[in-house]
Amino acid sequence: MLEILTYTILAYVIVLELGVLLLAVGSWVSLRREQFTALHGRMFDMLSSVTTPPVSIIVPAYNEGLGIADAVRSLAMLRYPRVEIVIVNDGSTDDTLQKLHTAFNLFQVDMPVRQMINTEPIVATYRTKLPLPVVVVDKRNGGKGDAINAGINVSKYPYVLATDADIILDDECLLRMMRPVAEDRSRVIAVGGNVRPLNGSRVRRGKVTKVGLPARGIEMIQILEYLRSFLGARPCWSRINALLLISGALGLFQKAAVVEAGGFRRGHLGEDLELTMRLHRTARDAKRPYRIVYVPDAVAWTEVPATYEVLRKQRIRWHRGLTQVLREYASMMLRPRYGVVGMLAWPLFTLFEFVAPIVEFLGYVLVPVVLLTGHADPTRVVLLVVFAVALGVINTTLAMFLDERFGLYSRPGHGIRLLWFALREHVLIRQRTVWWRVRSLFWNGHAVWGDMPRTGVGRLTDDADAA
Amino acid sequence: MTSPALAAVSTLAVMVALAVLLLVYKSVNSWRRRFEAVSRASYIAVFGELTARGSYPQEILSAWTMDSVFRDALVDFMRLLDGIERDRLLRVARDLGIVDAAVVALNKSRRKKVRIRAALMLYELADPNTVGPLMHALNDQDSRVRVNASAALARIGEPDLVGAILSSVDRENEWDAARTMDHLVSLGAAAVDGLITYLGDLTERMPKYCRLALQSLGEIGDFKAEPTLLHALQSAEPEIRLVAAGALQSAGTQRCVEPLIAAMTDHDGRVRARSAKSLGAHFDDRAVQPLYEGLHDREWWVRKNSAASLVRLPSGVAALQKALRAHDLFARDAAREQLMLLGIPAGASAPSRADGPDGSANWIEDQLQALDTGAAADDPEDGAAWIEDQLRALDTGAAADDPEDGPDWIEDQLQALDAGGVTTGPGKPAVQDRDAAVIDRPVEPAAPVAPGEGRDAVPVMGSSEVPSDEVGAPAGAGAELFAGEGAAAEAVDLETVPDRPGQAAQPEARPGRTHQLPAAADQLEETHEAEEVRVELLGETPVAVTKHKPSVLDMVLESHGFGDGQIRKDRRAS
Repeated sequence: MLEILTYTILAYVIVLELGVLLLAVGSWVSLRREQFTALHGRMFDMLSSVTTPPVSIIVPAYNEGLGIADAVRSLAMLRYPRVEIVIVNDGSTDDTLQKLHTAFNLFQVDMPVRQMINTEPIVATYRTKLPLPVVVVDKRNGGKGDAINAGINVSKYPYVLATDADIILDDECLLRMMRPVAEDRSRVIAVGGNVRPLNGSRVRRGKVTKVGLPARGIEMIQILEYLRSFLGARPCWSRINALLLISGALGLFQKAAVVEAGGFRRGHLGEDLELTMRLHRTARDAKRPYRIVYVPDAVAWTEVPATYEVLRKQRIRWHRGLTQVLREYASMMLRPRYGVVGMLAWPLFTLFEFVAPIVEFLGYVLVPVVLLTGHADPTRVVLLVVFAVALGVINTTLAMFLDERFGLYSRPGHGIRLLWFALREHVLIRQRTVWWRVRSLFWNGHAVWGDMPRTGVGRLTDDADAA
Repeated sequence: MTSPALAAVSTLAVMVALAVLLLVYKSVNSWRRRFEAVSRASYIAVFGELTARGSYPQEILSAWTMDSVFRDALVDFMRLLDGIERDRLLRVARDLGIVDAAVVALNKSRRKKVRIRAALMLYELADPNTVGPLMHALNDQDSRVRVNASAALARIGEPDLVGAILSSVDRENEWDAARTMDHLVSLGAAAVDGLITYLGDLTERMPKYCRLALQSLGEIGDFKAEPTLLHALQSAEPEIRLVAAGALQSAGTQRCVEPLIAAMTDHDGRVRARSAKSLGAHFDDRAVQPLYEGLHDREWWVRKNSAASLVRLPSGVAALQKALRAHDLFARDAAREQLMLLGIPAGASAPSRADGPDGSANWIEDQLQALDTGAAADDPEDGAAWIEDQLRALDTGAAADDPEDGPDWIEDQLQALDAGGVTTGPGKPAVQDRDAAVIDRPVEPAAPVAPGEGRDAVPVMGSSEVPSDEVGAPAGAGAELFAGEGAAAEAVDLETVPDRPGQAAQPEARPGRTHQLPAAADQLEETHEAEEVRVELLGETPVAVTKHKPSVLDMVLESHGFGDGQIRKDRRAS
């Protein structure tokens, strides 16, 4: 019995890795087409065209005093013809609002706000005396989703970009994300971008000037994870209109679609996944043609956890959010009504993201047991384990191949370090993340976000600037 | 070797091979990028010399034409040039065969990527000698080839080509068609006749292409297009009317004022909004009254655009000042915002008791405000008694309005006073008024005003239809609504602007005031800021109640026997 179970688990893991491999191949094809279009589609015509839709950038901020001013300055420098920036101070207990006042010379305005989505009360609204399209909303704390909803209520443009205060967007990020919208405005309702870890890179005046790799292994592992997720899978899902997750750190939405769907969920640990699923469901229930796409060359940078403790909390929160969403959208599973989302993407997502950690954890427990007790042929078991691990490394390597198109980690040592950690990941690092995810299943139901200590993107500046 | 062993070994081998391949790939790419960067820099330096001197060593440059970096650098450098310098580089490109190579690739290659690159190259070069091949490319199977070819033709700039370019537009998707039209705009007045011919009577083309053509006419701004635009303003398609209204802002004369005024009664809010905006550009006082009425429109953008346009009209400021006393909170706010941008204190029109009791809700508000600020001519310390006198007078039917409706009418006024906001229909949220003394008749619980119904209905905030700034606006048309919105967001020094008569300017941030429209009564909480907010339910209609400071009204209500909430409960009971 143990032997059968062990082989079943190993077979599951191998099939999983082969599935990831298929996704990577699909993503390769999709990326080639996407990049050609980006290169030759004359995207920069949008900068001077009156048909380019204007965008409201919504930034929820909770205790972001350290880097909020830099974040706003960075957003103000985006290359896009018409934007407004809506900063939502979600009841911060630090000096976030004061920092904004100081940096942008705010004055209070009385602004009637349309309550398209219910939120916590707005305490005050501010504009800046500087020639910047910035609005600051001060409200009662209600969580990230609630803050974004308040920003949506205040915003005036038909498209909203929801991003975090600690994210750095590339200059053309918004332009690239809006390209599919401009090309197919009647159908595209949401666009996801490519989020990359900022750790190890150099930032100057709110822009990434030099891409580098971090020193710590835990940060390197996350770089690989982001590569696999954002480059190895999403382009493929986007191609078949089955993208299930628009990252909360960088998501562009058609405002009417979000309002119709009810906005972001308050107090939900996986509000980005939940909203994307809800957009799919709402559109498919209404039998309305739509697209949710991913743009791989729309890049934003974020600081990832640098310690195991913070990473643990993050991964537990993510997995709890996933569990919540699975429960809420179980009715979409294997329903033809929901097309490729219900019949393919959602079941596979459940298998890859929810079931896989459980199975993998069982494998970590059972394999040593069967080896020690002799219930299975040790040679065979070891070889299968090697096979599974090798497949995993191959998938990571393929993701690195895909990344090479962007030429970011281009220095000679980068490739060697990344490959080393692609191997190293499987020794006592991956096992931890699996355990955290399994542990999150024993959840008491109390949803918390917690704090992630940040160095602040402003502190990643050159020494010359810091002087 | 057993199967697991075979699988493991072969997989390991693949893994190692891939890793090695990746490292080699990275190294090659890194080297290639450096080389290209250096080459590019060298080429651009040569081009600089070349354009300055006007001559070049052909044998050297001929060797470089094999390098794709050379061609790309040439194109990039040409973008920066104009006039004779650009012509010099174009001559070089011809002499080196770059143009001919692109033409051959465009017309002969079977690979669409090659044809797309070639069309893009010819667009950048914009060589008048390539008109023929580009015209041929307008029939290409791939839309990107066609769009780049038509863009190239537009860039060449010969008026005779306009017809050919427009003939290809109907095959494209909206975005590609829009980009083609954008390039036609660059031809300016030379493209107007072609666009007018293309539009015809607006029935021959799909609405989305008509919209784009009308928009282009607006961007060109040639008055010759006015009759076409006026005709389009009568179209059955709301999106065409919308774009036509926008185009008349720049391409219309005084003759279009009356049609635009008529368009302000369009049942489509977007058309009304855009017409309001366009009227502001014609500086014609005939528009004052319709724009003033537009301040009370149920659509957000109509109100905003009306206020912004009134500011530009000779008699518009007076209308805005009048609007400061309007029933509609949003009309007042729109007016206030524009007046403040002009530097006119928004509270400059202090109420005067000499106005007398005209029975209007605004009069009561004026008196309360006057009491509140101590500016009343009568003894302000006798405030409560005085207001009581006024109410009693009204109560006995001495009011000018609805004398036979005395008690009900006064109840309405008190209710509105107490509510401090406009009720916007059953189930709709109410508005909290900043000045806290909004007098509006509560909306009768009737069917919500449906889109398309007359504007006599009470302005409804947040109607069930999607607001005009949302996805309903078509590409370009929606953008038109927002064109110039940045102006409204320009910084204004409000530090010296008092927000109430008699009140000193507030250099520091005022205590927070909530202006949120509550979706549900239970979501508002009492604040500890300058004004308390209490929400009570009027049946199913949540109403934001604002308390004044000092609470004169409370004293009055209590003295009249209207306890807290009592008036509303009694009314509901009846």
